[in-house]
Amino acid sequence: MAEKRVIKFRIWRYDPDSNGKPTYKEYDVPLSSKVTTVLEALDYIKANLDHTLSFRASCRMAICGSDGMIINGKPMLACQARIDDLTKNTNVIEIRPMENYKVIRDVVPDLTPLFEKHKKVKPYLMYKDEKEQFNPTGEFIQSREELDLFNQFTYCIKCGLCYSACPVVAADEEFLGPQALAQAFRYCVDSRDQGLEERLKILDDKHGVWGCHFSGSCSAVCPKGVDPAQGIQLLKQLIIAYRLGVRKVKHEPVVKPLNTEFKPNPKIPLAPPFTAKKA
Amino acid sequence: MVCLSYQSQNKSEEEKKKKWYNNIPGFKAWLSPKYNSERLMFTIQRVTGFILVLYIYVHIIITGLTTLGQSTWNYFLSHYDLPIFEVIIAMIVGIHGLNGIRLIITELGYSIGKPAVPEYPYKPKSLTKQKMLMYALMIVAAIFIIVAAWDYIVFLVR
Repeated sequence: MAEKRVIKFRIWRYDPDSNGKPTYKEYDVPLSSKVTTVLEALDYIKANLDHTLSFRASCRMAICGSDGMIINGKPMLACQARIDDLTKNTNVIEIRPMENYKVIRDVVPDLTPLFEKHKKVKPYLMYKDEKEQFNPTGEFIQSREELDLFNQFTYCIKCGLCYSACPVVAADEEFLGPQALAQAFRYCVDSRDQGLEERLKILDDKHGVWGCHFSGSCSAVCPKGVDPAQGIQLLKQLIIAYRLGVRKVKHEPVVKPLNTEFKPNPKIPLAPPFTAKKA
Repeated sequence: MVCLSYQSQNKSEEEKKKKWYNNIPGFKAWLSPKYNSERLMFTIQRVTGFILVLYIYVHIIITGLTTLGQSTWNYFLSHYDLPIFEVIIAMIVGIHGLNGIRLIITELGYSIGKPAVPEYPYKPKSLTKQKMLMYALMIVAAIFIIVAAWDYIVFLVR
């Protein structure tokens, strides 16, 4: 049997209680069928080599978005980063916490600014008739094309990798960041939403959409294919069109009464009677 | 409207005492081209823009020498006027201006594609669709630089 391949992990360690500077520590992790991703390697280190290592993880399948970190110089989700792909030319994997955040411990960043800015852009549907929105008498009709306009941006898992890659956020802490702006676009362009005017206060600002200079790093690192850079540029287009008064809204949100009556289709035969006796 | 309750508005003193490591690189991030080629253009745009702002002041001061009389101006031209500086400024203007045109087009929402559900293997549309525009404009910038520096190139060859 071939010898087990051993990968060297260089991990950024920081202990807030020791008053020290962050240092790198090295761990040798043998690859096996149970250790294939970086997250599994971190689990292995925590279980067998150093139980003081801290990292944040939950679902281990790129849904929860809690294990974002910089792996070999690129922001990635640890559960999505396969060790085989990362070690084609090298035997070392370097792990650092995400940039543009404060670090609580080891590779655990404080994501508060990300969520704070996400809440600032009012990431929910705003309909002028609140009575209708919260106690609907019918359903909001939306076409396939209208859905396609924002569907891509609903895949965001709030992992914060785009926020970490953005060079504008690094220099301007008040800048909303790619995640919040992409979500703002997702709601502004929704055919059921009427909240663009209210969101403009925060979006139409130098710390809002106009802070973005299209470096595209957010889209380059997004693990879910959201493309925040595209969303922000389209949001700029939307705001310019709104300010010039040429924004095209196909129709106001349509509320169609609920259809509760049930009429069986005569072409479809009814289900056959039960063959088994009911208990 | 449903209001989301928010905890961090009243920061307690305990929270202020926390010794969290500040991992925010600041303006260093502008000078580190990584991840994608648009990021490199972003860095170049910052650096060239900064040099151009400095150049405007230098330019005003130097042309201001004409007010001191013809002899000063001629003395300056014969001693300090090096064509290499003019070529460098032409390079910077060409790259900054033409990349700026690309940014105006993309930031108005054109040539970056339409949103669509991602299909894997996935490449972001905003980075693939305007790549050709970027290359084309940089070729134009190269032609502009060669034309601007033509006299100097001829001078060097001789």
